[in-house]
Parts: sequence; C-alpha cells; structure tokens
Amino acid sequence: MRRSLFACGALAGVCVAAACSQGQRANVGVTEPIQVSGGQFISGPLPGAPAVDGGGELDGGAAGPLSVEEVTFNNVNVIPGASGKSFGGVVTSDAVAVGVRLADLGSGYWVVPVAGRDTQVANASDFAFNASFDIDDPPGPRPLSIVAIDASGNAGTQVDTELCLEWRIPDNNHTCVPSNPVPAVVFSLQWDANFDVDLHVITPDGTDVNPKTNPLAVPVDAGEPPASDPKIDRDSLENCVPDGWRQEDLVFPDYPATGPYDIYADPFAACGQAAVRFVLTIYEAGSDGNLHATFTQAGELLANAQTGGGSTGLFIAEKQFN
Amino acid sequence: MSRSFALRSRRALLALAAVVLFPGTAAGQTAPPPPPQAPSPPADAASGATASDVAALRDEVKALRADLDQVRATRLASPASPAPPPARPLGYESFWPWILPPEGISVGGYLQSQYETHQDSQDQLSQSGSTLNKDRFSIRRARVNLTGEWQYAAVALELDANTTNGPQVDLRKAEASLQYRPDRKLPPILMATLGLFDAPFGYELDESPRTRFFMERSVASQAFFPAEPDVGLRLSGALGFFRWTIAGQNGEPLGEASPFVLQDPNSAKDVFFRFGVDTHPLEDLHFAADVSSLRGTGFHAGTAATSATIQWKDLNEDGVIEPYELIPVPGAAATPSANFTRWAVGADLRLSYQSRFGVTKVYGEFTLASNLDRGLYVADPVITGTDQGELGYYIGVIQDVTRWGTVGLRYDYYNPNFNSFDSRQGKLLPFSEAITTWSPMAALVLRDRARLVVQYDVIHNAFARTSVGVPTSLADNVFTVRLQVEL
Repeated sequence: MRRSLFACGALAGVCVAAACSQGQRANVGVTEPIQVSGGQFISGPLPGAPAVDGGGELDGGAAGPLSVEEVTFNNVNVIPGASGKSFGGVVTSDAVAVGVRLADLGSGYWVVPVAGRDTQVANASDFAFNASFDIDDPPGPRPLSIVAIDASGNAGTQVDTELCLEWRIPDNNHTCVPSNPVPAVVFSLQWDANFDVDLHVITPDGTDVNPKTNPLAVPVDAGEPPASDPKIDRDSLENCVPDGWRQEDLVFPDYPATGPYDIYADPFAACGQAAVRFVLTIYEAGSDGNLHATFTQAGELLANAQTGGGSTGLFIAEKQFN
Repeated sequence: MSRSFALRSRRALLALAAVVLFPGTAAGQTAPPPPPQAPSPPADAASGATASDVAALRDEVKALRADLDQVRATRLASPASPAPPPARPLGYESFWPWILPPEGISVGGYLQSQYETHQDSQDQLSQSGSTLNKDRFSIRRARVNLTGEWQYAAVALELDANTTNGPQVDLRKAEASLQYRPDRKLPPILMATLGLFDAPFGYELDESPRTRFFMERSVASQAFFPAEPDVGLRLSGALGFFRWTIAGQNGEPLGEASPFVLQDPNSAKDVFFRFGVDTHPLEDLHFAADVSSLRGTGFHAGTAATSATIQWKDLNEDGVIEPYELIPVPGAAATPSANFTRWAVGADLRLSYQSRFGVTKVYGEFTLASNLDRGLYVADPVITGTDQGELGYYIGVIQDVTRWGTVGLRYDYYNPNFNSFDSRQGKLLPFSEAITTWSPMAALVLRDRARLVVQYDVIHNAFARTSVGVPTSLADNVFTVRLQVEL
C-alpha cells in the first residue's frame, strides 16, 4: 500500500510539471470587445511603436520597412454587435502577420497571418479579416489599431483607423454624428433570453402601440411615414428567430402628446425558454443635447404566462408627459 | 508497542495455543462433570483384541498402498492434458469473443464515475448551444451486462448509461451467437455472431473499458471509431494459440457524427479481417499479437432541392437595406449522394510478464488508414478529390505496484491528414496537424472490486497560433480522477 501511495505521489509530481507545459490558452478573446474570426488572441498590449499623431494616416506614399501601407473597410460606423465586418489592407512584404486591437479596450490583441503578395503594389502583401463587435461595447469614436509583425516577432509602427461604435439605443446616430439631434423620448425594453417579448405602450388616446401592429407608423402616399412620427424600431425574436438584439424601442422624435402612457411587457411566445428577465428604461433628451435614462424597471416573465398576442401582457409602469 | 503490552500479548498467545492444543482440558473447565465410568474388562481379553486390530490395520494399509501405486502408474502412463488458459492471463482479462463466460446465464456490471478538468474549458456555449465547460463531475459509464452460455449458443447484452452528453442510455452489445466449443475450457473453435458488437480492429477497440486502466482509448482510435459497437455479422474462432475473426458491419458505428448512426445509407458493408496469436510461451509470460485490416465504403450525403430566396448582405454596413444589397438566390436542384472508399491496416502487440514486482504489461498498436476518420477530422474526399491519409499509434506500459496499486504511462500519436497545408504569406506550406498525448496514470486497486485512478493527459496539437501567426499548440491538458466499482 505504501508503494502505491508513493507511486501516486510521483504521478502527482509529473502532473504538476506537465501542467507547466506551454500552449496558447483557449479562446480567451471570447469576452473581448472585438473578436477576429480565424485570428489568435494574445494577451497584453499591441506590440510595436504607438501610432504617430493623427492616427498614422495612410497617404499612399512610400512606406518604411515592416509597416501597414493601407487599410480598407466599408463603413466608419459600426452597428452595435456587428458580426463579420470586413477589413483588408496591404502590408510590406517583410510582414508575416498583423496585430489588431480596438484601442484602449480589452486585454489583448488578435494576430492574423497575411495572405499572398499584392498584385498591384510592389513588395507588399495583402491581409484581410472579419471582425465582430460586442453589442455592449462603449459607443463613440474608437480607433482600430493595426500593426505589421515579422517572422521574428518584431512589430512596426501601429496605424490607427478611426471607427465609430454606434449606441444600441436609437439616438439618431447622435453618438457618431453629434450634429444629429437626439429623439425626445425613447422607451427601451431589453431582455436576456431568446423569448419573443413585445413592448406595448397604451397612448393617452387608448391606442395600443406594439411591434406586431405598430399603428403609429402610418405611411403617407405609399411612402415612408413622416420622420417625426413615433415608431417601434423592430420586432425582436419575431417568429422566435433569434436576432441577437432582444430589444425593442419606441422612439418619439418629438416630445409626446401630453397624458399618461402605460407600458407593458408582453410574453408573446416562450420560444422554448422557461423564463425571461427584462429591463425597461426610459430615455429623455437633456438640456445638453444627449439622451439620459430617467426611469428603469426590471422584471421577469414566465413561459406559462405567454399570451400569443391575446393581451398586452404584464403592466410595468405608467409614464406621464405634460 | 510498550513492553507490558508485549508481555500481555505473549501471554495471550500462550493461552490461545493452550486452548487450541488441549481442547479437552480447556472444555473440561466449563463442561458438566462426566458420568461415572463402567468397570474395566479383564486384561487378557484386552490384549487379544489389540493384536487382531493391529493385524486388520496392517491389511488395510497394504490395500491402500496398492491402490495408490496403481493410481500413480495410471497417471504416468496417460499423457498430461493441457492446462486451460487462464481466464485472466497474468491479470488482464481476455476480450470478446475470446472470453470464457460461466455456463448458463450470468449478470455483471460496473460503474465509472469521475471528475475531470480541462485546460481549454470555458464558461461559454458553442454556436450550437453546447457547453464548452468541461470541468465537471460525470458518470462516464454505468454498464450492466447479461451473458448466456450454452453448448451451441451464446448471447451477450450490455446496456450503458452515462452523462457525458447529458443523461442517455445506449445499447452497447447485443450479440446472438451459434458456436462450436467442444472443450468448455477453451474459446470456441467456430463462432458465428449476428448483432451489435465491437468492431474487430486492433486490441484497444475490443478491450473492455472495465479492464483498461487508461481513461479512454487513444486519440486515433477514437477518431476512427467514435464508439466501439456497430451492427453486423462476425465469424471467429480459436485454434490453439491462433485467433481469427472475419466480420462485416454497416460502417456507421455508435457515436459517429452523422444522422445514420447504427444504420447504413449505402449497401456496401465494412469488412474486417483480424488474425493473430495469443499464447503463454512461459508460465510467467503472456504474448499476443494481431494484424487487422478494414475495407469499407463511406457516404457523402447529397442535398435536398431548395426554393428560391432573397438574401440581404449589408455591403456598406449601415444596417439599412439598399436595392443593390438584395441578392436573389435561385432555387437549387437536389444533388446526389456519393460513396467513397476507406481502408485501414493495423497491427497490435502485447506482452505481460509476471515478476516478483508484479505484472508488467507492455503493449502498442499501429494503424495506417485512408478516409476513416469519423470522429475528429471527419474524412469526406468527395468534394476535395483528395484522400485523407491518417496515421495513428500508441505504446503503453502498465506496472503493478504491490497488489494494491498500478502505475502506467501511454504515449499516443495521431496525424489526421498527411496532406494538410497552412497558408502563410500566400504560400502553402506542409503542416502537421498531429496530436500527441502523454498519459501518466496511477491507480489504487481492490482486485475485482474497485479501483481509484488518476490520469494527467499532456496534449500537444496544432489548434492555435503563435504571436507571429505560426501554428502552435492549444493548451488543453486534461486531469481526471475516476472511481470504478464492479458488481
């Protein structure tokens, strides 16, 4: 018995020694503000010299060794929780990989191997990757830093590409274009599971505004409704099809008509879920020209309360506008 | 131990010895007083009876001696009958179809419950919704088996329950056999089995998880055969040390990641040949070796016809539909399914030696295959047009440490594709996807009843990249503690 215990102790020693073996940790980047498909996440700061003032603007001129010569993408604005946003570019031919990081956010950077030689630029290689963004990334302008890396692990000078992460609350894109005015009021209902919850608002004249009927959006001359009309932005989880949002917003571009507004959360369909937790937040335009949360109420809905549209669901709050 | 306690122990031993050696005396102290004795007979009569008794005893001893001599002579004249092979050669059980079950119906079973922790475990869900956390307690195997053994027929049933992928119950064995087994101490000379049985390829696949000390089969074996059993026909037999098996199976084993598990989407069957030897050249040495081959037909599933649809691709990434972002996708006709050929050859060898330190078992196996991976890098050459060459092998050693313990070490290697390449700087570079595993193991054992096993798997793979984009290993070492109790 003593020999057996000794053998077990020896094995434990081997295990401890083996536990120190090297290897990349598994997908630690899953909680990062940006994920690069096919890339390897490396903890720590992005290597290389910081971007020069002005974000390392790419002027298309002659580049030094180990540098990013060009970065291309389709849109400066990033939709909240955007998936598969395409980026591409050109690096000098001495680079074997590029490092990518959303500046000042997250705990590390992503490494993507470069592709083949560029057919138009001499002594240069192409790179390309698709990036996905966390829907709760802090909104606002945010540079995407990219750096060229050679086979020895040396990095060149970082290049910052300006992006703007839009806010998940519909603010008329005021976050990225400050000259756009914010809406007067937004009722925002968010929930945590793939459960078809509908926002219902009973207006002072008794109209039930909800994403299934949305009676406030009245088309004029077979065109779009007037921009000043209130509207619900989406029917999230319609037909139980997951859309990643789990959020519905009633947006009032102008100040609502006076009177009480009763707000409900309708468990339309459980979609196989046992329960769902929700949060209602009311945002109102402040004197500083930004939206501010003025009311918050959380709650829970159970699967056995699903209505199928037969009622307005659970009453949450009444909001009075004067 | 104190001196006074030693003295007391010694006195107690003397007393115990006295009780054993003189039971009458000891019993007389507590027994009731004996009845009064009858008067003794006259002395002459007593001496006459003694003489006649001695003569009778002498005659009896003579007769017994004559009988004994006759038995000895008979034994020397007849050739020695061969000793039946032990059911557990040097401590390790045989496997189907070579086991020797008890006559009639018998029931058995065992339970393996464990805790394991993986370096690559994450508190997240995969895209399909399955858990990525692997640090957990689980019931790995809870098996109950029933065997029936008669003169010309045999049956084996085994049920497995586990929580590996949530609670589930599977049929693991359902063998109906006809056999010719004239010597009931030897395996059948010929056995024909129809039903659900373990694929007869190599040793590891057929070794019972109850007797295997290492937690799981090697990576290559699990890739080729995600689980052991499949449905088919098996012919097998044992002639002396020679073992042979020929079998045909559907080729869709249990555990395969396909909708056709234990069914068969094509009419071709996977054919197995296995030949080998199993012998004891010395009393303390067990030697067994086999060669195996497989030739089968894989299935590439076609696609059903589709309706026309419209897709939206947000080309300018502004979240708004523009006319040029709507892509018409015409309906597509169904595509036919296709078959492809797969094969494998392998060899295995095992040696067990009984020394004064206990049993030492050294064993290994080698497999070369094409398009056989059905569990890890699933092979389907129909689209790629390139066969997927695969190589796997392992070598292991197990050593008893007293009767209470066992230690072992196994190294296994699996290359799922000879033809894999990695793209770097636009160049396709040969690239090894090989997975290697070192598995040290130690066990505390209560023979035939229970074992507590700990194992640490040090795994090297090519699932990650370095900080310069070169493939490297993803840390996914595994530590497992398992308790097994047998019925």
